[in-house]
Amino acid sequence: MARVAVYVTPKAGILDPQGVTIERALPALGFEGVSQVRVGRYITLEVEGAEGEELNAQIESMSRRLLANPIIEDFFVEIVDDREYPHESCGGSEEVIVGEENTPRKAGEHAASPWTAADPYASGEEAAEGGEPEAEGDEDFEKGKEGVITSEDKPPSKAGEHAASPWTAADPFASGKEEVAKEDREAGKE
Amino acid sequence: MTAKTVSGAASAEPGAEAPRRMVNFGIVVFPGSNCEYDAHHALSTFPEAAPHYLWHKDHDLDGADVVVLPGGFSYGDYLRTGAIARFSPIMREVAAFARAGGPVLGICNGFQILAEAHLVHGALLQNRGLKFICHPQYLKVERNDTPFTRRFEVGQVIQVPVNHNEGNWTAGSESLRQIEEQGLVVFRYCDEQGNVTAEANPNGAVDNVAGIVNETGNVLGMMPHPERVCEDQVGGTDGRGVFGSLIDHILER
Repeated sequence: MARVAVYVTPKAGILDPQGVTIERALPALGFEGVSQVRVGRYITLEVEGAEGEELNAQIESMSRRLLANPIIEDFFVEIVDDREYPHESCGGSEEVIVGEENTPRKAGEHAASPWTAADPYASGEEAAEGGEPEAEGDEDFEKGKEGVITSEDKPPSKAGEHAASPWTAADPFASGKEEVAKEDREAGKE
Repeated sequence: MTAKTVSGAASAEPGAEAPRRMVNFGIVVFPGSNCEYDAHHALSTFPEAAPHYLWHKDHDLDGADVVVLPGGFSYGDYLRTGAIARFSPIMREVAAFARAGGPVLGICNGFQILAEAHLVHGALLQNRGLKFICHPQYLKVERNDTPFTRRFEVGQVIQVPVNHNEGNWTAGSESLRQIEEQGLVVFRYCDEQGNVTAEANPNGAVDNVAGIVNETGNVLGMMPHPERVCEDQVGGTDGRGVFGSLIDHILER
């Protein structure tokens, strides 16, 4: 079984009203110098049966056809096995501020896979407020949710060249994805 | 479904009208659609229209002359608006119908589904202002040579309500060039005088696009709701032009 993460982000040049709004809100909280805020979607899934190239092709196809709309979105696929978790492979060493306690934490310490947690949708707020984790493994996950994913040492995607990480590209939003949209449109017209 | 005919008793009377050819409108209902009744009601005000519903799991269009994809929140707008509905079984039939030249009208969520299905250009993003908008909106008619706009004049300003959260139409640069070259835009947001301005644009749509057709002109996606302005008592009749045009188109074929 393969565990897969698909990151979907708005394409270069596409207006992202949520990103713009967040970018405008940050200075009000005292965070200056923030730009290029883009809001995307992070999808995790498990796939049984397919492996290797077949798996890559499957994930790419489902991403193009359903998970992302290549006219307006780029996607980046990460395929991991049971021993590698995407957050760990992403690493991260930035200091982050968690919750209202303003307690600095190292993002890397808390980076954990969403799949190790009992409930991947559990809120991280309780942990930030000092609540007791309920299930084994939750603690890491809940703190991990606050972690900042950086791209410095992110390994190349296994899903193919099209899948450039939004974080590793020199210009994260300009990576020649026009053709992807075009191909998809043509495919859709058949 | 067969076309309705006048009763035998009526036609037997001397001077009675000949059986009228009815236009079958198939209104596709997805889980989460909520404007199918409005569309059905609006169409029922036209004596020549025979509207009927099509369930999204159906595999045929039940003899429809025109397919309508109504507004709503198909599949709860999960993932992206229209993204799941696009893969409903009936959409295969709708696409084949469209390829064969059959008129398909997508309103609001129906437009979003058509865009996801690549039956019209572009995609619908969240409104620029991040707010759900719901108000009467002026539109400029750009073309009257389509099956949807025959009863309008080019340049005519009509008032049709908008009612959406994701109506911010956009397209890739290649698509935009094609749309411009082929004049695929049918309606643009404008002010009362017909000026297409940024101020008159309610959602941030590129070039104020409110409705576009495909290259062959037989598939129209539009964000505003013509079915809601088909009777004076609900505030306007400008929407009648869209359905009336479709009826003319079918009857004269």
